[in-house]
Amino acid sequence: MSKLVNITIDGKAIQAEEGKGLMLVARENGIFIPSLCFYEHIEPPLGTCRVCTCKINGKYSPACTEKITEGLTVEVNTEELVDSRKALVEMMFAEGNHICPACEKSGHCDLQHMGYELGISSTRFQHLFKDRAIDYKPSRMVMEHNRCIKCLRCVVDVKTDDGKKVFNYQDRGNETYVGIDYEQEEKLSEEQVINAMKICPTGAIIVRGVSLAAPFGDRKYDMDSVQKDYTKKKHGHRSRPTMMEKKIVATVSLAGCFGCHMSMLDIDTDLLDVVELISFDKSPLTDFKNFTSRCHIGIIEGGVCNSENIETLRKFREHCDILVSLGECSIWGGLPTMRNSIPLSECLEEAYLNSATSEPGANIVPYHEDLPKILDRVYACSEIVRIDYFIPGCPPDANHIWKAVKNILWGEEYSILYSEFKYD
Amino acid sequence: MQEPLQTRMMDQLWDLQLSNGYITDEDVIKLSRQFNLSEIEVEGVVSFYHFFHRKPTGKYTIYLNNSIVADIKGFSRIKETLERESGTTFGSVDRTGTFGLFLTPCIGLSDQEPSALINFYPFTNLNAIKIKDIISSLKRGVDPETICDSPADNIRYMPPGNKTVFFKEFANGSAFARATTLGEDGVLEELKKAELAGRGGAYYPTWKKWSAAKSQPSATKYVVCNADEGEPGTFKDRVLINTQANTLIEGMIICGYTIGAENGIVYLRGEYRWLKNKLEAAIDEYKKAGLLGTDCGNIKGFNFDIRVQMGAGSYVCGEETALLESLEGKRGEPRTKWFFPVEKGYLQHPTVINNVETFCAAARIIEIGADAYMSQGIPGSPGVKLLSVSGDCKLPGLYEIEWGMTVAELLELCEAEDPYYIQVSGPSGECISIKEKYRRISMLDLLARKDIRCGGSFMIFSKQRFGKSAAKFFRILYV
Ligand SMILES: Cc1cc2nc3c(=O)[nH]c(=O)nc-3n(C[C@H](O)[C@H](O)[C@H](O)COP(=O)(O)O)c2cc1C
Ligand code: SF4
Ligand code: SF4
Ligand code: FES
Repeated sequence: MSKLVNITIDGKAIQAEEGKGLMLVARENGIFIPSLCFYEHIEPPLGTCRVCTCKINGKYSPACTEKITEGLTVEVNTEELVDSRKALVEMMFAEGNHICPACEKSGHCDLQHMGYELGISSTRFQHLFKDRAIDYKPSRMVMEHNRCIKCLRCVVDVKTDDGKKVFNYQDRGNETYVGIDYEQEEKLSEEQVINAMKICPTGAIIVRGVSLAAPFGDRKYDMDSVQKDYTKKKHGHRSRPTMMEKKIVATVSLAGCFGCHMSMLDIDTDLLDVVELISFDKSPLTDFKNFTSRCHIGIIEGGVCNSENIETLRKFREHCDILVSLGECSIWGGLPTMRNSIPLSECLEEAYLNSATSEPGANIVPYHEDLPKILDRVYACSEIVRIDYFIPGCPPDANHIWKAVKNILWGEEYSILYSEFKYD
Repeated sequence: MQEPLQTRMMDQLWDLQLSNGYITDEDVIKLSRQFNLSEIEVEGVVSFYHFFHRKPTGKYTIYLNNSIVADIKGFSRIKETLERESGTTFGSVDRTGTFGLFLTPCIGLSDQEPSALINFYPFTNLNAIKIKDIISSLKRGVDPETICDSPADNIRYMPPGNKTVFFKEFANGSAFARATTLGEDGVLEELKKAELAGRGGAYYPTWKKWSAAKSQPSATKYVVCNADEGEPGTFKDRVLINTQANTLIEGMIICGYTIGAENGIVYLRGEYRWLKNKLEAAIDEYKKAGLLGTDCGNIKGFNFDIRVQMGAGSYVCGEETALLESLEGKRGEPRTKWFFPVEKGYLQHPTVINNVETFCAAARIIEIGADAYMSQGIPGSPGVKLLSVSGDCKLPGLYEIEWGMTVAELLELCEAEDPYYIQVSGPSGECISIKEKYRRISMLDLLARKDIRCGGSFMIFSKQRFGKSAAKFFRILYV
């Protein structure tokens, strides 16, 4: 064993082996440094994702490529670092097309998991919705280019028995993507193929016929956080007034599936308590078509895909003090954004003219002045009006929704459990 | 030591690209068999480099520079004329497969823009009439090599009183001879005294780098010269290779002697392919003189050789670890900083990487002695520096200045025309306004001393460039 030296991480004095990797030392000492590309067995470390960026001896650098030296001083959790790490992961979500509810890796995915750990509830960056073809050519794998974060793990680690690479970067700059070699892929054993899928931190490498699906609670990242004291931010400060006036709530589902509304109702008998505290105005639950009074809070499910959605959303902004985006579709577009990388005309033609069930020449793309106009793409609600709060999830957990809503209305103290904060 | 096969893949890709105009599917398969790689790896390398193509690029492949300096010197008119005369648009090849037009970032000829490379031969100071002539000659089947320009060196200024350091007559072997009398440690001492620091832009003390490599126990070490000169607006390395290839070689030999290396490699950017023959001729001359090869300079047991490796169009390959990857025949992507190149560099052996100017300066310092070198410049920043000046001035070109000159003096020397902003050290450097013209150019720390720490390029922009839309201008500059 090499010599022990003194280092400090976030003010904590630690003795560690000189020359050892900082990530391992932090982990052994119960200090959580977020990371994505880091994989213990790969040396030298990849250092591609920058999620582990810390302030090391006063300089911003990735923790995973740092070796222990005498006097090393590391800052992990300054406000600025926490925020910029979060921003980095947000950018990954904005850059790829990540639709967790439709993803095989959901619940086992390192990227998604990092989203939970960092508490990403909305994104500050506009999603790019780049059109990327999925590569179905490999005989046993599928390359889902929409989800690759170019971490390099597969490129470095997946090799055939005679040492040839199976994956490699292609192109450069912005256009860089990870290509797969069909010939070499054939040579991998069944086990090697599965390992390739496992080593990928996202759902970019999928093995045909091998399902990752498992019920909630049985997946890798469902129940426990890697941070000892994970309580996603304690919310609330005001105390609850003794005499409570009933609050008026409006809800709507725009381009959504009503899943979030179903989830709202999913608190079983607690629902009785809820109706003691609030009353519903315009909402699918009351079937009021129009606002009858000013509302304290408007809860929006679904994104904005047509002209009627825009109008409705604007009405909500007008009539509600506070607007809350509920669920992924409302926050950034969600599942319906699957069409965003495809031109609208192609989508309509596919749906109405070229689909398997339509007879050639028998159908037209519906058009009538009374029909709402479909927008060029699906928009996040926050792109149309100002949104005050975001409650992520697809759908968000029922308890999570009411905790958040109650807090917004009365400022009750609460904290979200790790297992409640889920995107899928 | 025998270098692994893959290190020569770039050479083969160049041969294929030059002889066929592109790299075919069969080539990729053949190369993957030959180098025992998977096809995707070969594809990955090919698709990384700007000058390697997987589709035909025409009998005459024209790369027009679209840098910011080209832009202010009439790039758009040249672009139009080229498209009209050749009958194709940029990014494609005409129907007969004769002309392929491509845009490319700075090709190191900012002092003679607009400029282009045709089949990698340089054509400078272009105008519409010249383009018409060139294209019609090419249509007649004239070889571009026979009509290309030989770019002027444009050395505009040297310290007065014949005090030039870089451009004095140089007797091959003279610096090396002095190095051998100084001994390895003596060389390090001289460089330390002269405060020579990396001229690639990072200003890391050269003696520290060399002595770190020297102290590595490995039997195999490498000396690599970074001639990738990718920083937009810089062309000092081009001029040095064109006029001072021998000092460069000698700087590398001295480094090899000091650290105990047997092999030197010059990584020459693809844009400078037209300088390759000249550089190799100089290397041959050194070999003939016994200054390269076995027992160089009659030093028993000191064997040292230099070869040239061509890059193929990639700015990031100027970064030292990306350059190492590229030398190894891979995609030129930076390595993580797990090891320094002096610990594990080329093929994991200790490697010193220095800029062209650094090697030339090292040779000169050893030749004339640190004391003489230090008679110029200012305290803390002794000696001289080469600056590449371009943009809105009457005398664009190379300036060998003493450290400590002010921006105002430089602007006067180059006859700047109504200067307003100066982009120092390329888009990733610093943009200074004319209000700061009394700042000095030195290698002292910028923030502490208010001096300008400069990698070498000065792009001057007149007020008129900012008339309409400064924002648009900066967007062009930074993208
Ligand atoms: C993006 C990037 C591009 C670079 N390009 C060059 C270059 O074109 N030429 C060069 O000499 N150094 C370049 N460098 C600096 C090299 O990494 C390295 O510091 C230099 O070659 C060391 O030589 P020196 O100590 O003699 O300056 C670049 C660095 C970065 C980060
Ligand atoms: S589960 Fe992971 S890979 Fe799949 S869509 Fe979500 S973030 Fe992307
Ligand atoms: S496919 Fe997966 S492992 Fe490979 S680079 Fe992309 S995200 Fe990383
Ligand atoms: S974990 Fe350190 S850069 Fe990715």
